[in-house]
Amino acid sequence: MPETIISIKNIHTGYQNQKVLDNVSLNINSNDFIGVIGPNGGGKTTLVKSILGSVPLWSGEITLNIKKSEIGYLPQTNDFDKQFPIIVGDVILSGLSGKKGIWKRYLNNDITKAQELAEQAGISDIFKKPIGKLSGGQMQRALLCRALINEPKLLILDEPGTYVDSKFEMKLYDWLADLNKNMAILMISHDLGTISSKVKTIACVNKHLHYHESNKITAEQLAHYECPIQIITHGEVPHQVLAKHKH
Amino acid sequence: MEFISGIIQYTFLQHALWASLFSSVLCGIIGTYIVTKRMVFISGGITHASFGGIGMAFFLGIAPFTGAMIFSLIAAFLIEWFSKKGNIRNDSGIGILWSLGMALGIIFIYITPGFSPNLMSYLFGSILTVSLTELIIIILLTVGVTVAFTIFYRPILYISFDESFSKSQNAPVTLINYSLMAIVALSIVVNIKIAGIILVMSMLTIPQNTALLFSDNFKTIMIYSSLICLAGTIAGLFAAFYFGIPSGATIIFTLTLIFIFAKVYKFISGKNNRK
Repeated sequence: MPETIISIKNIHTGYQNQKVLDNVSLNINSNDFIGVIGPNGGGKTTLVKSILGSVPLWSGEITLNIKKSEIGYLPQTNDFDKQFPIIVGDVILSGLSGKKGIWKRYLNNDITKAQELAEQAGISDIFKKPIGKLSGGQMQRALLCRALINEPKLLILDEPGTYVDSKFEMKLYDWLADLNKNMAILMISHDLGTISSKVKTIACVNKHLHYHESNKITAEQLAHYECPIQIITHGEVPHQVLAKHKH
Repeated sequence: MEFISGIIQYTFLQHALWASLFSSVLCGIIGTYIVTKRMVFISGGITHASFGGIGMAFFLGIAPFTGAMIFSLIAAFLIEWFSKKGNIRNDSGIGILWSLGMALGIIFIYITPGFSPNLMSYLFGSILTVSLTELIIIILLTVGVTVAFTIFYRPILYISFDESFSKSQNAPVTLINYSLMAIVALSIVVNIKIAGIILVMSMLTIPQNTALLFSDNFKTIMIYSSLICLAGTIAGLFAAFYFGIPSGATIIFTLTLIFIFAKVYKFISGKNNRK
């Protein structure tokens, strides 16, 4: 029986005076695989940051039934220093920094686990390389391993396909399907076509959130949800851009 | 070998030698943290703010060391605090503390009746006048910092690398940041005696940047920069002993020379590798 791990109730939030999320509610259950879609600036990342507590809420409530260190997080952008003298292996291990706190030691088991993840992500050959020498795709994979090493109950991926090549992207989705057996996944993407077949349900975020209980969604439904996004279909059907709705 | 016999003969030389050794290790460790976290300007602010403490200490008749510690700790915590609360531009805030500290120092010294201390030694360092108390503090701090960096190496490294991710994991970011700020402030103060307020930053930046030419590993950079720093402080000690030059100046000159040689070496070997 899936249990609710995170419950978001009527939250309002934003930056300075600009409201980004308006009365948003969402329940995340332990076996969910939710694709979060919506236009740029629609509040997808803000939603994630609210869950992580890095954006204060104006009103409403978010209840976490898991610890923050049980959330695996792959940010969309990173503000760390790309020249920082740290190797890939340590970047992966740093995903344990919440669980370990200040006193708990890092054990050989942890290092083995980091190596296994690197293996799965196809970056075991650069395990000891400093991050300054990585490509964007390699960095993204290392950060994905960092998000997974704490064996999260919820994995949050903010645009995971941005830097990785298409070959790994397909492998990534297989991997995620496998991971979904043990954890809930919340994946942000602006590209519905790529993710709709991978996720179980869809949340459209454009200031408001509309939850769609299926991974199949039509342009009409998107329009109804006031969620104008690009739908890219691979094949002969030309893609369609929906006009922005005026509020 | 006047120097060797001097070491046996004079306790002030023994103090200077031990101080060089320990403060080099301290600068190697703390400087690596400062440089990789890009806190050089922050550290400059803390250093200069501590001059206010030195002035206040003269005015109150307490040890300058104590005054400097109080001011540098206050400055460090203020900087850490407003960099997070963000009501003021970070670098502007540092600039204000920087100059305010210097101003307060001068005001205090001028209103202290009938006494004008040798400011040169505070501004440019005076390695030959390290007292036993100061030496003990340097040793204690160095040992403490070395032990802390050994035990908490991973939390320090991981949190310094990516603060916002660490926060999302509920890692002890604030604890690490404030503790490290305090350690940075104290390390700066004990090194003021050796390199002086104006020049101490170089011990915390030049060796580390030299080490960074040869390593991308946090631990190795700490070890290399300690050794480079030691070469600088010993040179400073010699120059002070033989020629009476303020130790800070010679230290910086030596460290820069090593840096330039390393740069040239890297440039030439890089060219050869490409052939």
